[in-house]
Amino acid sequence: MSDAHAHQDWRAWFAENGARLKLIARQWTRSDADADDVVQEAFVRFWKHQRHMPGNPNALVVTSIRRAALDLLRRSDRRTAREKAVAADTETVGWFEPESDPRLQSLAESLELLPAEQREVVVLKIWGELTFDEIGEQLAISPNTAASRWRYAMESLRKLITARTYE
Amino acid sequence: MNEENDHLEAALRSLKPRAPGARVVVALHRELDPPTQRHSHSWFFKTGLTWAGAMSVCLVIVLGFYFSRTHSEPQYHLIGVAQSQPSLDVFNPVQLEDGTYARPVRVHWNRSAQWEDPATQTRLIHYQPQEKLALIPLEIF
Repeated sequence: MSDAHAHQDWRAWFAENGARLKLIARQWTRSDADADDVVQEAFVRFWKHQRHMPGNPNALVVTSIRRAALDLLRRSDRRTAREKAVAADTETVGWFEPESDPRLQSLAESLELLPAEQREVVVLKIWGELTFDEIGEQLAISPNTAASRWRYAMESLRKLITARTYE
Repeated sequence: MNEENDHLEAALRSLKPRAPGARVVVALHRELDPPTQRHSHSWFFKTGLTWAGAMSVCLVIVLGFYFSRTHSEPQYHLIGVAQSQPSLDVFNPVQLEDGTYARPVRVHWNRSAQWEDPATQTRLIHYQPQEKLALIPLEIF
C-alpha cells in the first residue's frame, strides 16, 4: 500500500491537534484520565493501521477516538457502581485552559452544561472540524438532526451566558 | 440570529482545550519511534526468547530420548540356546527318474534362544523350527 502521508511528521501533527482530540474524547468519557487514555489508544490505532490512507486524517482519527471511547465505556460498565461514583465525584478538571476574559470563561463553563447530544455536535463541528454530514455519520443520525441539534445548542448557550451574566 | 451564531461560533473557536497529559505524549513518542531506534531491546529480547525456547525444546527431546533408552526400553541379555532332539519321519520308497528306488525321510527339530531382562526378569524366547528332507537310496537285490 502506498503511503499517502509518507512525509507527515505525526508527532508534530499530534502536538498541533492533541488538545482538540482530547476535547472530543472528553465528550464520550467519564473523566479527564479516561480521555487521555482514549486519545492515546485511538491515535496509536490510527497511526498503526490508517495513517497510510489518502485524504484528510482528521475524520479517521475522530472515528478512532469514538470507537476507543465506546470500547472503554463498555469495559468501564463492568466496574462497580461505587467505583463510578468515586470517579464522578473526583472529576474537577475543566475542559479548557482558564480564560482571562470572563465572557469566554463563562462560555467554556456553559458549554459543559449543555445536554450531551447538543454538546457533542458542537464539539465535533468546532473542534472536530466535521461537516453536518460527517457528524451524522459519526453519531448515526441524519445531517438534518445534527444541524438541528447545533441550532438548539447555540440557543441554549446564548441563554446560559445571559443567565450567568446577570447572576 | 445568524450573525449572533457566527459571533458565538467564533468565540467557541477561540477557546483553548486542555492538552493531553504528559504521560500520553511520552507514550505516543515511544510508539511512534522508528523501529530501528527501538530495535535493540525488543530485537534482543525476542531473539533471546526464541533461542531459549528452541534450546528448551532440544533439551526436552534429548532427555526424553536418553530416559527412553536407559529406563523405558528393556535390556535383554542372551542366557541360553537349546536344540530339541530330532524326530524322523520315514515314508514309503519311491522310484526315481533313473529307475532306482529311494526312501524319503524327513527330520525336524527345534532350536530356541532365550533372553532375559534382569531388571524385570522378563524372558524373551525365540523358537526356530528346523526341517530337512532327504532321499535314502535303496539297493534291490
